[in-house]
Amino acid sequence: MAETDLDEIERVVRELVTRIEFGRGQFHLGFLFCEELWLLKSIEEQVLARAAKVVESFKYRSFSAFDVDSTLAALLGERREEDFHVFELHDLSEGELKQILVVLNERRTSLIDRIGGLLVLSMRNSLMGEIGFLVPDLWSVRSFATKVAATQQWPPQILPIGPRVIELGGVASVSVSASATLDKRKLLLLASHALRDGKPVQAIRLAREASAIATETGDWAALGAAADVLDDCLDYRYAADAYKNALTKAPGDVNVARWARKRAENLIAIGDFQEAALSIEQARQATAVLVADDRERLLTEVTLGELELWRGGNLFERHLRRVARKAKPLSAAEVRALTALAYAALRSDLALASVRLAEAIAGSGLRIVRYGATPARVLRHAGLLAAQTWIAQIRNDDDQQSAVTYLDWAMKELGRFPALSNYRERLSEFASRDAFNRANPSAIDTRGT
Amino acid sequence: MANFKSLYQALPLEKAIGPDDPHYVDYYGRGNAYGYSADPIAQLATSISFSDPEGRGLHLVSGQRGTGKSSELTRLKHILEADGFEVWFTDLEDLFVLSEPIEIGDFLIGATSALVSLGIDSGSDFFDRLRQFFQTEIEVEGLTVGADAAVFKAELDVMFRQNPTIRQRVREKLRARVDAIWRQTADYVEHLAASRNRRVVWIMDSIDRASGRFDNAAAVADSIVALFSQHADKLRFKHIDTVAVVHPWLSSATGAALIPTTSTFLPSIRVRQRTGEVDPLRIGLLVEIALRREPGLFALVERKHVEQLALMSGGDLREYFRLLRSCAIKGGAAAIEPPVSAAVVTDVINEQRNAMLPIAADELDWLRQISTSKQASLKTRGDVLALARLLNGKFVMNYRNGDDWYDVHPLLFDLL
Repeated sequence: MAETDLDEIERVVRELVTRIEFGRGQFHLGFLFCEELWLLKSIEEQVLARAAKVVESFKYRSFSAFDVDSTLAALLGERREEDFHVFELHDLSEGELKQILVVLNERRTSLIDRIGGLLVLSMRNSLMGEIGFLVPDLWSVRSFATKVAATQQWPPQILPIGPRVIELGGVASVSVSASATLDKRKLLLLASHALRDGKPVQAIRLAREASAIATETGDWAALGAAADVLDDCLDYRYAADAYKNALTKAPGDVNVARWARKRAENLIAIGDFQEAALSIEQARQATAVLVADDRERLLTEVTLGELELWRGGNLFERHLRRVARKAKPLSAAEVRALTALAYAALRSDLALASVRLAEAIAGSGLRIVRYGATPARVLRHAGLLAAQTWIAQIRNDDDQQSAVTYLDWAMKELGRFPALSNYRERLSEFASRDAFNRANPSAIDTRGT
Repeated sequence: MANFKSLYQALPLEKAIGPDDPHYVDYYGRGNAYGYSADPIAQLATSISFSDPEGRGLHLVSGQRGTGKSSELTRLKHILEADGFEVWFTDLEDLFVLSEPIEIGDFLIGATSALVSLGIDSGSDFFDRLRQFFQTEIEVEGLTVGADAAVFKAELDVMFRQNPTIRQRVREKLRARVDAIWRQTADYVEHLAASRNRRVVWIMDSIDRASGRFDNAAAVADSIVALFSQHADKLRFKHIDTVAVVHPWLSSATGAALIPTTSTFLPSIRVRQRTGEVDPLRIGLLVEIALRREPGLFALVERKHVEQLALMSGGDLREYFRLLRSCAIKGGAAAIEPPVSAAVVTDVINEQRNAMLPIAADELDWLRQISTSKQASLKTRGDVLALARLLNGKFVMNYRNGDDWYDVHPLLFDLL
């Protein structure tokens, strides 16, 4: 990545963070035009990492021209006090995008009344120059409109020179100085991009390096951010260690509950259930001070449900149902519940019931999973797809082609991550079992129920 | 003590303030000080006051976005109430899908529903009769008339906003029964007005926000023209003076078909004369407006730069606030020692300009023409829409001294 890209991102990030700080509690609106989605992701991540008191970001990726009314109704049902809201409108055709923007324009007053923070409408460049005509009411109250562009494509060949050198699998040689805060951020940014570019091994190296620098320099917020990237890379052991380190060194940090929960998730993934249970307890204690329906509190319950699931206990559904009941429509907690249930689908004979339950709980949340940003979520989605594949085939319905498509996609996604070879094997197993099932439909119909 | 954060917070873009707010600057009211020969809002209030006590007045108010219409309507309400009027203020945004054509039938029902929502009256009589009307005379497939008036009103409100299929069916049925709907609506609102012990003014805000989508802008514009030309008489009610906030282009589109009781235009604050000379009085006004919001302004943005930004805003208050807020953000983000430098101000101006780009070649040609002639010569119906588009997007500013004249937004001067 060229230095100028980093400068551009840095400028936008700083200004967004300042806007969040300055406008807390007020509705304010911005338009962000960006052709490369990874740039937007980088910006979002950095804003969330840096804005001092961000309560929660709300990334609404599930907009569709077909359900814009219902999704908006869910969004605008009650006032949202998060500091930072991003409506990602990238994955839409121009027609759909226009339709959605027009509806948002009509609901300007509702948006102003119901959103108490910075709302960023992020979209591709195609409507630049047109947007003021298309949505004049929203355009009229914008705080800013900016275009962010990359000067060259990832991956870069040349990066700034410094004392620390990291090998990147022969693709690029990255050098950064060990002291500057920005360098840690750069490493994390590079790691995120590598991950999105399908290079998890490189991403892990970069994130581990960022974690080491953060530890050396005592920058615990950066360490937490590095742990998050490691978590996204499914680098379970390192992520768990980084979270533990951050928890030990910065016990008063606002992220303690989340770090403890995330540590537990990673420990569950490597089978250290005893330590995971302790970490969940730490997360629960940290969330005890929060209001009952706080998102973090719900997510901790999801993790507890997952622990139960993997430990072979029978309480997981109870926990997950509890979360699903409490979770706000289309919230991240629901998505997590859904993905956890997809795990259940992958590993248990309760698959059919679990996925049906997941569908009932999540509804259009499925779409959120599809647009989920992190590879970890994509992988969980792959798990869900695998389960859907299985169900579709069990039903022996007309949707065989979809089932095959799901299966191919899930296998491909899973194949990218060595850490998930076990899932891939399991999916292969399901696929072959399904072939058997298709040949003997009567033998299966009773099993899934 | 003033800082970049306090400046940012002092200049919200989405909130209109009224005369009760200490930050409000009554610039029309202090006309001479800023070169205004008249106060259009006071004139409108006087016209209403002098008009026939039997009502039936139809007063149009228009102005570009960002010219302070909402603030001035609040002031109008205050003046009228002080003069003994009862003012009903309804915002039609809550009732209509503003990207679709509006027909007289749904307009009358929607406007009355908005009125009932004010709580002046339960509206049960009106909605009960309307319910019966829908039940017996214009049965609409899929529309639940409900057990009582309240349920029916709720159903209609939801239908108007959320169900395009039923909305369309209702419209089609109502087209053939416009007079019947008009009669019912008029009976109700006129009876309600007569029952008040004061004269009534009904302000219908936000009609000007009906703008259509990319594919139906002409149809929406046509529907608005029809509403105020073919059906203008149906918007005049006994015992009531109606004030409708309409599109700036409406009068030129309706021509003689619409003769309102009064027509009030709220122009952008004219920062330049038609000859291009800077108007120091109006620049001073814009400076005072910002100073009233943030008394420590000059410590953060030097006076000469505030004046420069006032000029570059074209007199659009929101644009002006946005430019100042951007200075605050750039100052805050870079943690610079105030005041912001000239380079920052230039950066802010460039950024705002870039947000308006690119401009299509044919529109650029028209902008050049407007810049020279100060007129927007409308030769065809298509030109009305094209002008509306440029006015909506704030590429063209609408000013008035004596007669209306137009100019290109100052941020775009360099492109011409």
